[in-house]
Amino acid sequence: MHSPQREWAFLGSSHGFSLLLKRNCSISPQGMILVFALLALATLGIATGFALAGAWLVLPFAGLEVAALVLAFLLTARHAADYERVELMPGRLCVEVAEGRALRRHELNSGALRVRHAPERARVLLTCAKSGEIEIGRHLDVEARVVLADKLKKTLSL
Amino acid sequence: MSAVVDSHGHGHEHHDHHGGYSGIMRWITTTNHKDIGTLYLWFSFIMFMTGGAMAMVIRLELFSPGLQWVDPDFFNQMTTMHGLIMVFGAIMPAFVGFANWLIPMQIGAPDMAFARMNNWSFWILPFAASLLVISFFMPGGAPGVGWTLYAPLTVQMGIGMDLTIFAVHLLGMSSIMGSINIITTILNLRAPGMTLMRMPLFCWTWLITAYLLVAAMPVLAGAVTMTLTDRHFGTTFFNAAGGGDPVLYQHIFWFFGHPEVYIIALPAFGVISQVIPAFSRKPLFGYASMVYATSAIAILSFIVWAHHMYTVGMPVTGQLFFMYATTLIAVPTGVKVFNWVATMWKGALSFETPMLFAIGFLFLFTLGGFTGLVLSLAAVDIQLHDTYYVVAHFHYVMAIGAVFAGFAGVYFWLPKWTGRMYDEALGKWHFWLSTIFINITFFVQHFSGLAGMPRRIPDYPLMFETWNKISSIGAFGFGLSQLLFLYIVLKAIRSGEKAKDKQWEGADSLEWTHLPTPVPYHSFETQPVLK
Repeated sequence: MHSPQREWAFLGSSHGFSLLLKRNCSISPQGMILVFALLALATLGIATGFALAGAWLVLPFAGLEVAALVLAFLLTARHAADYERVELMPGRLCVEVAEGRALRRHELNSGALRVRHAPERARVLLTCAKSGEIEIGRHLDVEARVVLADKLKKTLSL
Repeated sequence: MSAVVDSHGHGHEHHDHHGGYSGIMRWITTTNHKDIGTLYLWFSFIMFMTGGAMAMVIRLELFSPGLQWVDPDFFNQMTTMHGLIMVFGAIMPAFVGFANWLIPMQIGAPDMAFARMNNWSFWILPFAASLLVISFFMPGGAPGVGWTLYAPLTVQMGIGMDLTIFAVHLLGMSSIMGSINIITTILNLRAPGMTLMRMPLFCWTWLITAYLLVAAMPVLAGAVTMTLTDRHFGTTFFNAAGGGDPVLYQHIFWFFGHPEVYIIALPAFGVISQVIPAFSRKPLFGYASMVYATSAIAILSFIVWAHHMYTVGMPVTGQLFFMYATTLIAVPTGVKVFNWVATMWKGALSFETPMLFAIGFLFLFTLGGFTGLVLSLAAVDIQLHDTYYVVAHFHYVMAIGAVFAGFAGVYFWLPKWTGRMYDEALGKWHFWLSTIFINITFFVQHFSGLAGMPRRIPDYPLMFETWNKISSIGAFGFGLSQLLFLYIVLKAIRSGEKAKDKQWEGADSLEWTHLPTPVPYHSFETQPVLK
């Protein structure tokens, strides 16, 4: 087995870079809706059949189960499409954070920017006088956040 | 632009491994899929031994004609609880244990999608199992109605029946939570590059099983709730005197019950589909056809339920429909058996214990499937219904099929789970003793069944004595052989030789190719990218 390898898609340092950080969701929210809808349809269809045959008490249990499915779907899909885009362009760093339905976009002066680690779980914070502190790297594990912060510091100092 | 490529990502040894708890609290509060998998597997083994002890009582009583050891009521309680405990307490949790351990590792996910719910799904089980066991100590004892819990007998039972109904509800809740978790995990947490058609077949079989569980469980919940309201709230769903229909219960139960057979069998197919290619040193033959065959079996399982009910009376067209639909299941099952054999064909075979159990499964499950075909024929089934032929058939499929696949899986993944190798010689002893004794137990039951011996009776005519004696001896032997299994597992954990990262050279799923042995507590926190 080969050793762990971490590769970052930073483009040439003098021309800036674009980094998209997002969760790994192997199915789209739309795909998940389709899957869960088919399940709910099958469950409710079967229960309706039994209700028509006189066994109506199957229906409430099917309803409860579908409610559980919907809850599971909502929990999964709520933040499935969250992302952070960090783009370095000449003189400025653009950070776009999508969280649930909210989309925030920050344009920071790359010359007056500081990258630092918060002690708690190595959170990566971008500090600048105008926008205050912006956290990035929430979709990464601790180890990857450390790498991200180091890379950012190096790239920004060039 | 991609953010991270990390092939291993298991550098988290500095984390607190057990959420700050140790001892028993670690196991109660754990949300780690490996811990929960281990809990499921030990729980299922305890239940396997409990249900097995009940089987010993049954076989002891049946050793000779006449009533020797237990009264008929208690005998009926034993057969009922043996079935319920083995199906819901032993076999199903065992495969959920495998799912917990393996699915995240095989798809490159850090854990199950809903880790806390995973903890709850497990911890419901001991309470449900306790209710089943406590029912023996209630006035009137445990229900003696058979694991199918047929009305109207269920209406006449004591308070033990209510405990059993509650237990079935809890077991169903646990299964549904587990299924939602498995579906979400497999669909949403696969590593980049791990497309559905690249997943190990074990994950496929569990994905389809989870669908079956979600579709079938509310039906069972409804059935036992209607039994409860008939018992205590004056409804007459299943009481003909009040306008109800006891046969309706049978339809509802078997609409759940037949998919349940595949809920047990499909994960077993998944295990076998991992083991046979590994010891044949070849990829699984006909992967896509295996996926489609599994799906076909799952769909067909919903339209064959009334083959359990030929004798309750149904129109000839109904009999024909269920007969043809049932025989149709032989086609996708045959595809699977063919593919397993074709995988071995011209492979570089070796016969370590997991492979022996897999081959044992292949022979014996096929034999059980074949007697299933015999029973699917309405004209034959009417003769054999409720005889020991049926007992032999479903034990070959469910007991031998599922249990042998379970053993194959434990021997196959134990080195990866524990980092220790089991004693191969003892493993082979376990296989041969189990195979010989289980066939002594159940093969002869075909003969007593064909001769007309009914099931669920503590006494029988003298003409059935020889087959019953042989069957009982086989059962005692099989029961004792399982103590050897326990010893082998404990010995491996305590003092087994250190296992290699890739203990089986033919194994090719992510847990063998991308993770060290034993697997770290946290694995794939950063998902691997598969080319």
